[in-house]
Amino acid sequence: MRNKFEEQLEQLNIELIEMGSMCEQRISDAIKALTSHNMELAKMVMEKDSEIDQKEREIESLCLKMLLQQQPVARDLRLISSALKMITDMERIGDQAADIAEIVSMANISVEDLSNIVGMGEATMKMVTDSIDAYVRKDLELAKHVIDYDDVVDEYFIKVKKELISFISNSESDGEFAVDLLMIAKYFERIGDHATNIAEWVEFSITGKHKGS
Amino acid sequence: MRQKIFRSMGVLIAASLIFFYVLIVGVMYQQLFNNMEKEVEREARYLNSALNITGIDYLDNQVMKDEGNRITLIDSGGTVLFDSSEEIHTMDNHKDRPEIIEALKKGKGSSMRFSETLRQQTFYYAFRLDNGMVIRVANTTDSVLTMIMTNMPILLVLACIILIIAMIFARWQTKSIITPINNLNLEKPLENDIYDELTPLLHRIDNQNHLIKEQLEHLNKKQEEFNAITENMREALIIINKKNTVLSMNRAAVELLNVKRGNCIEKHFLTISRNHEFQSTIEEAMSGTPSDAIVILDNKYYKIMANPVYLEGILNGCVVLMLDVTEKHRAEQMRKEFSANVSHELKTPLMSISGYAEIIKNGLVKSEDIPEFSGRIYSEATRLSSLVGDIIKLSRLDEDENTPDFEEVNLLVLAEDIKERLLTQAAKKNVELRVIGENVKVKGVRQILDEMIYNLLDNAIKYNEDNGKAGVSVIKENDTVVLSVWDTGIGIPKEHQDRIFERFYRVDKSHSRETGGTGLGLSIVKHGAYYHNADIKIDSEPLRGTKIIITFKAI
Repeated sequence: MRNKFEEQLEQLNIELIEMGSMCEQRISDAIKALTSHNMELAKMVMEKDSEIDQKEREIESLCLKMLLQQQPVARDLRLISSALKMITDMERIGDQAADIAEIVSMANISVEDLSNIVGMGEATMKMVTDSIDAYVRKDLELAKHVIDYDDVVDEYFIKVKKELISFISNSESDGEFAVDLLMIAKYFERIGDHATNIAEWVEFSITGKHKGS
Repeated sequence: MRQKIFRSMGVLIAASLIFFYVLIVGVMYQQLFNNMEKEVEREARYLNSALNITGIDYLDNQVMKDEGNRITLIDSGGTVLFDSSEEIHTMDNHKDRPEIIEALKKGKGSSMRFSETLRQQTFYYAFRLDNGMVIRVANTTDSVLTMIMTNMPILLVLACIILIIAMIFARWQTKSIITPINNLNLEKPLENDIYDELTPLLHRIDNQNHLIKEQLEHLNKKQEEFNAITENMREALIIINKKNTVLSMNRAAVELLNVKRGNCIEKHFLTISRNHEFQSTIEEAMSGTPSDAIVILDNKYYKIMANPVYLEGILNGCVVLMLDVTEKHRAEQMRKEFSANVSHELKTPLMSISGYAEIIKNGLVKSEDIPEFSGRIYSEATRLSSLVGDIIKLSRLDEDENTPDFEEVNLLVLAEDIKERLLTQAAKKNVELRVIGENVKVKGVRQILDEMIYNLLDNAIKYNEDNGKAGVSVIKENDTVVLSVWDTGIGIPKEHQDRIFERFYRVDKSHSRETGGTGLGLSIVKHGAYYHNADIKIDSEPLRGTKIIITFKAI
């Protein structure tokens, strides 16, 4: 009985990492699509969003099965409940990556200097990677680092916003793509928040204390 | 073992107790019965002779009722005439009793009958009197069964006591047998002083110990060899089983993937790297086909090769080898860039030459414009020829073969010489040239050193402001000779400083043709410096000037 439970826990672990790496891949593809105006890549990111949703359902049913059949307690219960919360955040990250890809594929973004928004994308990417790494290595320090790093992404958002405002006021062209870029920045900012959530749940699964409570 | 000894001892004791009991009772009973038989017979015989002499009245006078053996007198018709224990009226005819029939026939007879419950048995002995009547004597005793049953409680108590004593004894016995066996020194079995019966076993253990030791040593040696190989190789080596669990990874793998070894062994491969290419390469190997790929981790290029491992024909996992190919990749990239650049650079002047020539050939140029056109053709051809010359110089520096002999070259004299040659060019931009320093000699190839200083000073003039200054200084510092070429020119921005020595690299791509040059000058300088084992450094600030410092070893 116990052995089967161990096996299921290991499977949960692997599936979570797989889901995390899917999210990473989607974000990095979305950033690539944004910088290289690669419509094909953007479309692919949008299409593959369903894979993450599928994965979420799989992990969810695995978690519920374990809760019902094994009635875990203490650490195991914490692990499973935090996994249940984490997949929700990961699924949202996947959705937002798809949203970014959608904007990229629809809009004609022609700003020459994308450095700030790309920097922002890379910063969020780093947060997602680090939060998953923190889960994989059960690294409390790294989880805390991710939570702190959210400020960097927030700063980037403000920077991008200011840049776009000055761009609209200085140029005669319509500000449509500026709004699109702002949306993208907002999505990145949201992804950063979700990565923070994941890190908080990692912290919870290790220490049993959640930041929010 | 203790249990077994206990049980067999118990069974043995119980069985022997029961056996002896039954045997003894049987023997004793037989004895008693025989005695009883004889006694009954004797009494019957005595009564017989007494009755024959005195008649029946003897019985009434002599025999007390209900005392001793039962005595019965029966007439020849079977009717009971006298009985010592019962009223004769209640008794039925005895003619059909076997002992009576026998006595009537043969003069005497005996028989034994069990009571209805088998609890008792009665022995009868009968004699025929002279007057034809029959006297019978009977004795009733307990049967064997009753005897056994009545003595059972005593026996049980006895058995219990014996068993308890036996068990205590057995416990002590087993303990004293087992203790030395438990205390056996299995490391050195032959040194034990114990039962002779165990000696063969001890010998076998000893042999096995030796065998195990040998095999262990063999395995350890193998392991050490394996470790020595894997730990010291630069390539990362990861062994994965078919469940994607990491079985082992060497030091290089730990370093390359930037993980802790304890965190990875016996963990799923995903824990180590979530890289997509990596995963698919391993998946492919797990499906049975060797595969390789280039993955980018932390801006470095790695070639990974995954090979399936078969044990007895069954796929059992895979071995992943990882090489750092960043340098190779970069070199390849540079080579590609270089050949693309060379063809472009060669093509541009050629196109102009053929263009001008075509216009002249078609007679579209007025005769007074011909000198200007031919001048352009000439300048493009010169450019082409200097480009080809530079490429040849570079490729000569690339090859180490046919090295010209090293000689002692006085750098200051050489610099003065070059300055003289460049004076006209400097005059065009009104740049002031200075050569200062000490008379120092270095070992080198005059032609290459000349080329290097010429290129540097030429650049210092070309990329200078009008009315600027440029110069060469040669200084001896300890055991090194420092040659620096400086200018007050436009300088080189920081982000370009790493790349200016690359072939065809231009800081300002749009204006390269105005300043002339082939884009290979600094590359030749760098290669020349390498050739002389000299160190090259750049110190530059935009709009302030550039200083290129080459440090030679002094003679």
